[in-house]
Amino acid sequence: MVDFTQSLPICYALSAIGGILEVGSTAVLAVPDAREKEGVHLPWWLPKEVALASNVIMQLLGSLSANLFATWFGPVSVVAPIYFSATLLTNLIVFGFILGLEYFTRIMIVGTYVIAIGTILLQVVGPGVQEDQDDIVELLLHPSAFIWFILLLVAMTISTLLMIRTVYEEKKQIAILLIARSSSYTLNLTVSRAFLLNPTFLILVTFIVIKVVSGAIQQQVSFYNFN
Amino acid sequence: MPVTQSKFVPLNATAIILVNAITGVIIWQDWRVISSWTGYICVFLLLVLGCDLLLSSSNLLTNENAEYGVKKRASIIIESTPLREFQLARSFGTRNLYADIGSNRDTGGTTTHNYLSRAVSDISQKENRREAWKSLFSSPESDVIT
Repeated sequence: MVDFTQSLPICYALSAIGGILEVGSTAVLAVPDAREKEGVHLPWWLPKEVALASNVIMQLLGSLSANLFATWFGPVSVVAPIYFSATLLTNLIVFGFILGLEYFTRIMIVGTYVIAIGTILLQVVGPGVQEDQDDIVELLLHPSAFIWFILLLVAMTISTLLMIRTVYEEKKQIAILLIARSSSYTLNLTVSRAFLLNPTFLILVTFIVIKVVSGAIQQQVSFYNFN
Repeated sequence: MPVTQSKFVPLNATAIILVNAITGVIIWQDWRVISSWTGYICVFLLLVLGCDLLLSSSNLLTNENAEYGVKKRASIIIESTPLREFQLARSFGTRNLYADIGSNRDTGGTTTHNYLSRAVSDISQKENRREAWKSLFSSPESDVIT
């Protein structure tokens, strides 16, 4: 296996870049649309296909950066807060302050700053690097770790089945979507890091399947969320 | 069925952050390298509260809280105060403030207002102020409540 030296700054930077690219990918679709509605014609060299292609590329790069590469350089548990913090902050700056496409109330702005400060503080008091972790099987064989991993898998499967099968009233629907989203996102990050920790061939294949399925479930949650 | 985005997005961020933190502690053994548990928990509390602030229908414990906010507090105060039972029933043409209160004795009611009215009325009918006070404090509870 390739040796990746643990580095917190790289982990934080990749997580943040993932969040920024996520917002950027939305912006490249939203801005031309908003400008057209205002009656401003787009330049000939910027057709919708280019915007769409930029969206896909930025989405892919952002996902790879935060959901895969970032986990290889630092603790998995800091990736999500940094990613979301970067997303919220970029959203506020780009859509609120620069483009003016969205209106943010004062409470929402304060909330965004609170999250950003919380994320900065997380780097001070949060987990550091662990150089001695080099065997995923050994880690997963701890009873608590094994039970938690299975619980996440079961939660992801059941919530996805419920999500696909029936449409519930809003509160139940939100609960199901949250379980599906959080369990799939966590499993996605967990197996990403596990790729580097000397998995056996069978475990590697299993983890690749979990990575692909959990990624697909996240997209599916977004679909069910908006439709 | 699309869900309300202003609710889902912050809740989604909160759920993911918390589940990831638990996974970090249980699977990745973050407990070995966390420098300050108090700080770590407080930071997550901060993140959760930040997400809660982003909810447009925020239900924080502020004056705007639907359950315990200023509206609820005001309605409780209004309901528990028997203002509606206060009757300004003093007759015109006399300087005796307690003249009519005594005659309302049999109209019933168990409110604090009626109890005080009756007590004060009794006092007013006493010639000796000292006796009146004595009578007020020595009267049996059952007598004044009913």
